[in-house]
Amino acid sequence: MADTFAADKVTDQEEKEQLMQLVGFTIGNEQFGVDILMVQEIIRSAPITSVPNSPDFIEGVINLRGNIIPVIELRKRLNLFREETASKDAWILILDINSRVTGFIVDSVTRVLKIMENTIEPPPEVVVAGLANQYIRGVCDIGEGLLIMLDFNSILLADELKQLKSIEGA
Amino acid sequence: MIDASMLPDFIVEAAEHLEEMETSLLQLEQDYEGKEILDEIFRSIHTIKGAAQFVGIERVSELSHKLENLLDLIRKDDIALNTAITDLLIAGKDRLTQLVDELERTQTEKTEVADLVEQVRRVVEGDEMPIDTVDTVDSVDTADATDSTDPLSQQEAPLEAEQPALLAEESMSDEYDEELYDIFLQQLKENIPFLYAQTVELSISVDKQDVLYRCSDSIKSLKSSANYMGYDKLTQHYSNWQHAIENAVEQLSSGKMPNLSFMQDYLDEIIRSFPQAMEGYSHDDAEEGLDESHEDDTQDVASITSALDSIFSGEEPATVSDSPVDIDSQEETYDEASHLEEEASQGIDLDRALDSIFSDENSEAPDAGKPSDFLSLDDDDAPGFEEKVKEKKIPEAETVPLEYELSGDEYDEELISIFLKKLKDDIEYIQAKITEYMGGGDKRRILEKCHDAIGRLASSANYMEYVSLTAFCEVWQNVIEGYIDDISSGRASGIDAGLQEFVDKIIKVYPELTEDMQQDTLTGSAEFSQGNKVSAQTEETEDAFSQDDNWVASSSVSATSAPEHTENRQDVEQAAKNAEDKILFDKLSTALDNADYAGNASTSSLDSVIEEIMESPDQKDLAASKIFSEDATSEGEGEHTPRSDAHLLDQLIASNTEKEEDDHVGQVGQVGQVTKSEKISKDVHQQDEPVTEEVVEPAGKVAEEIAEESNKLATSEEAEKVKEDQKNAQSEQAEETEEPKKPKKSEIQEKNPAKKVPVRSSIRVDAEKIDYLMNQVGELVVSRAYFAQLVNEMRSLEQELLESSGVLKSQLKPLHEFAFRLSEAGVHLGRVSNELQEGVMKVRMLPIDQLFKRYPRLVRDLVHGTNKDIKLITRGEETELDKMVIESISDPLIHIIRNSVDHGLESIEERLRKGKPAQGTLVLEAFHESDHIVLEITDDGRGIDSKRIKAKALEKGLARKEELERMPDQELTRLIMLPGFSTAEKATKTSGRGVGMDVVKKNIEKLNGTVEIASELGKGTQLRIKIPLTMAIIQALMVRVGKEKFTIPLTTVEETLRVFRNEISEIEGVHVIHLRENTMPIFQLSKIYNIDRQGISEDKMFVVVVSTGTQELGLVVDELLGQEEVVIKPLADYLRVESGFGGATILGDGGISLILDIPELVKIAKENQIMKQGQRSSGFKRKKVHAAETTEQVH
Repeated sequence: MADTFAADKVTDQEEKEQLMQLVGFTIGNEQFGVDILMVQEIIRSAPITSVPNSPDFIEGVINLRGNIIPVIELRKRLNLFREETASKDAWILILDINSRVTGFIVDSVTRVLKIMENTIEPPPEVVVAGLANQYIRGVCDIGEGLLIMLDFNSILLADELKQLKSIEGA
Repeated sequence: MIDASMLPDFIVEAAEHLEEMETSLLQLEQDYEGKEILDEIFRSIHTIKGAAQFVGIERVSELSHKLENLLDLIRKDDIALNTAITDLLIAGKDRLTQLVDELERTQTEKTEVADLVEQVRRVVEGDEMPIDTVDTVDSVDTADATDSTDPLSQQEAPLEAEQPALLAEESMSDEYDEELYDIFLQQLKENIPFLYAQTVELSISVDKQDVLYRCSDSIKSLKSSANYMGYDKLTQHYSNWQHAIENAVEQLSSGKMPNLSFMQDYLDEIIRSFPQAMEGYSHDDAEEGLDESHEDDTQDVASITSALDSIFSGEEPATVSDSPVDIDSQEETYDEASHLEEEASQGIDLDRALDSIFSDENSEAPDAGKPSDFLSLDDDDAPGFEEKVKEKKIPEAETVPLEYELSGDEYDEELISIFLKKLKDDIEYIQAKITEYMGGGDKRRILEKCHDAIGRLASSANYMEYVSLTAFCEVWQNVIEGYIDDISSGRASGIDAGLQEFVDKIIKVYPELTEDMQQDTLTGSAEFSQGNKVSAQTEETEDAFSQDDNWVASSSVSATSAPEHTENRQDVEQAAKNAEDKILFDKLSTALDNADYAGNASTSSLDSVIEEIMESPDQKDLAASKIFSEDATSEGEGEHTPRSDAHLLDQLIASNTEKEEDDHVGQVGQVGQVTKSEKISKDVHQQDEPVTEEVVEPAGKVAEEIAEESNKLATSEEAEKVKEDQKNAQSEQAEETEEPKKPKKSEIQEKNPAKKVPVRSSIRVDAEKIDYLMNQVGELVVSRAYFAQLVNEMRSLEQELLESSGVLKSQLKPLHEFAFRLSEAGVHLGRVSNELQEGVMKVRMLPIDQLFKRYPRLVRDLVHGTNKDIKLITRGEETELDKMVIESISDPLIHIIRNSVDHGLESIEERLRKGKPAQGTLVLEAFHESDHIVLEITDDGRGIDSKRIKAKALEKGLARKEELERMPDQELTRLIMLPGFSTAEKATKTSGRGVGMDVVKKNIEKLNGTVEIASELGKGTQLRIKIPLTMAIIQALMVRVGKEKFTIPLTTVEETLRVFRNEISEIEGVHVIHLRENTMPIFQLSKIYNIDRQGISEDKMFVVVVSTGTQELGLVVDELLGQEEVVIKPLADYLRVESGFGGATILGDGGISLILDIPELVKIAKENQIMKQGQRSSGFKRKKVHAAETTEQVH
């Protein structure tokens, strides 16, 4: 009895380790996911103050309870779907990326998904949905389509941001 | 092994001390005579050493120990300071700094110290030789040192010759290694102070034999070590010493009193030869004086004892009934004897005995079940007691002159305050123990605790190098040890008064210790003497009358003692006058009269007194007197005629009689002895020594009888009183004994609050915590603004209601009132948050001294090895500014100072040629100017040559020729701050690469500060740095461009103008305006940032004139919103870089305003300007605006 119980516990533990919780969100028709542990909060439509002379994809800054947080238009950052379909009531995902708190504008936030770690596959060689694979951590089949897990660390790489900016500025 | 948990603290502490040390070392370089500086250095290194040893950091502790040795020798003038030494010290300091740095980074010591340790050792031991004449090793080292061209070693020879010590000729062959010698020296260090202490104790101790044995043992071990080292003369010296001790012991055991002064002689000899053995001991302590006088006195005592012996043997069986006769006869001679007492009272032992007897009486009286009149000697008569204390103090005062040794200028204030606090604590502790002691309890334990406390005191005094206090404490430790011995050997003891006296003495010498405390004591005791005593005594005196009547009948002695009382009365009068207490005086004189009649019970009381004396714990003196009594009977006559002996005896008896009278009076009233206290105490104390064993037994009987008789008396109304006296004697006694304690208690209470006053304490706080606090305060400032805005909104709402919805004004009244109250609350919140903000800002403030302290060393190093002589003067070190600011201006200042020293200030020859003083001056000055800190760095060097700047600027293509021609000198000098600019022909090791001023400018601008340069060719240069007090909250000008609100730091704002379109002209594609004879470029913020400004008239505009330190320009904005205090919030780095924004701030309505980084902005504007027309300046996000305005791009 006790053994069974212990065994249960172990499997629980294992399951927990393997189980990953993702916050799913969409941009256009594409589904994306981000590790729930990175998500600090999700807000809707805060007043955004634009920052002149900043890269195109930086929408501006918001005041999040006294902290000034840059907001990135993820669609632009990822060069997704050229069409300007951004709805007015966008969501802002506030993520803590290596203690750099940044907001990302997404079209909608869907739900929290639980997936097994081992179901995540490495990014395919070919570009998914016109997305350079350097920003993709992995792809996961969630039944109703593919879920792209984004690598926000590389999305926020400062060097690259600067580089982008200087290219744009030139 | 390094204790990792302690390491961070050590590093911080050591770094601080090293910093201090550096400052002091540099001062020392200038002033070789600076004793105080030397002391400071010594203290720093000592602290580092101690901490390093504690934490287990070997190299640091080793090196600092060696440096300490060196410093010690310098301090003793054994080594003369010179450049070599100071360089060595500085090198040592640097090495320590390096080690500490390593510890901080890697938790291990990496750099070797052996080389420096060796160097220091050479210098140290090279000079130790002459002092330490027994040192064999040193002579070798001396030779080494001399060989290695150490100038110091040459001083040794004459010094050595001057050493007259007996042991100086000890031949120092160099076959011993240092380690052996160290061990030898260590042993010497341990034993000599011990012997020293023993010698002191010998003079006061009863059991001299024991002490001598101990000394002998110690000498024996010393001898063997000396023998091992092959120091023949030293060994011989020890042998002689041992012999002398043996002789003395023999003499003692045969009942003779040997002359013990040889101890001191031998000891002196050793100390003279090995001065280091007595470190921490003062050689000046008049130990010999004590010893000698001690010898004399013992003789006196002995003779007195013998005299007593002979007399008391006759009255051994004395009882209450039959003793008066004896006393009668004894008292007849009393008067004659009285003149002798003065002489006798000078003896140290007598005084000491006096001392102890006071205390004995205190504790003894209750045990004997008698009302303690002796107690009241101490307690009732405060002035008298004090005098006695003084008198008693003489032995200590002679041996150990307790001097006031605190001197603020010489010692670190912090140390002193710590020391004083410690002293205070210990004194309080001892006082508490005295209280405990008197209240009963484990006396031995209490005494041990007191002993420990005094020991602690001694060690802290020793640390502070308060020689006399140390010695004083040590003497007292010995005294208490003696008491403890007494107690453990079963004898009763009481030294509360003695201890009290110790406390008093220290308080007297260190008044600041307890200025209030002493006052309390005085007033306390005064109150007692006036209040308690007077009332109590009035009653009790009456009681005494009735009781004494019983005794008067049998009193045949009263007549004879009368003259004495007259004398006493005079004393009392004196005392009363002193106390200015008429009532008391009256009562006392009445009591005196009574006392005349009370003489009847003389014998019994006398005996009881004697008994008390015998049982008294001051066994040392008693035992001594016992021992010597036999000697005295046989030999004493030689020195004291029988006649004088008789006098002494008479005197003793007479005073005892008196005392006995007092006893009776005191049983009820304790008046008599109060009045006579001084006199009696003197007498009694003189008698203490000579008291013999024979007296004890009858005395015991007598005491019992007295108890019985007083019991019988307890039938009348006074019964209660008497009972109290007898059965609850302790309680009464406690009351009395507590008298000195009560004020003490109050002292202690009073002291507690007082303690806080002088000690300025500080705490180390993680800077992050303060930053967090600062952020929160920033939030508060923001929400305060929000509050104000809410009130405004409410008002407008009210207005709206009133106007549009037709609500009556009266109906809106509550709303109006509420709005008013809300605004009141807002104002209050504002006030509080302002103060809070200021307070938190102050927490971050540090005196700029921290920074200035670093530069003397820099200047020294820069000047070192050049033919320049530069004096660095710092002013305004106390100016406080934000710690962050301090850190970020550290580097810029280094560059500036380097520039001044390297380029600005000329060499000595050049200066002389120009008719300037040979020594160049560099002044660092800091001061406040409204919300800014201004730092001025002024040198009197050659100044900046604008022609050379022009040439260089042309050469490097930094500006065009026409531009340069037009530039005023002021602006030309600013060119030196351009990156890569250097007029130096070639780069020196420290400067000339053209980086310096650029760094300065960048760093200062980061702080929202500005740099100005003023220079006059040939006269000197002045750099003026202006920085806001803090970086977190700044004063700013809010402007609006289009819909955006921007914040411009007020530090950069020079002025604001309103400009009309027609005032703007265009030169080379740049819009300029004419401002006071100058042309100034203006830039449109909206164009720089591509901000849409629809429908705004271009006819007139607002221009904010900003300055980057090197240049001024105008920024065109749409509206000036006003000045505000804003909290700087950081922006993500990718938003900050090259964007022209330094940060952001949150507005009252929760919106965000970007703070302009003016220098960056100007750079961007200029870059844009350089980018010619047609060049797409895309990259700005508002493309539509962009498209529309591309053609109008600012040039």
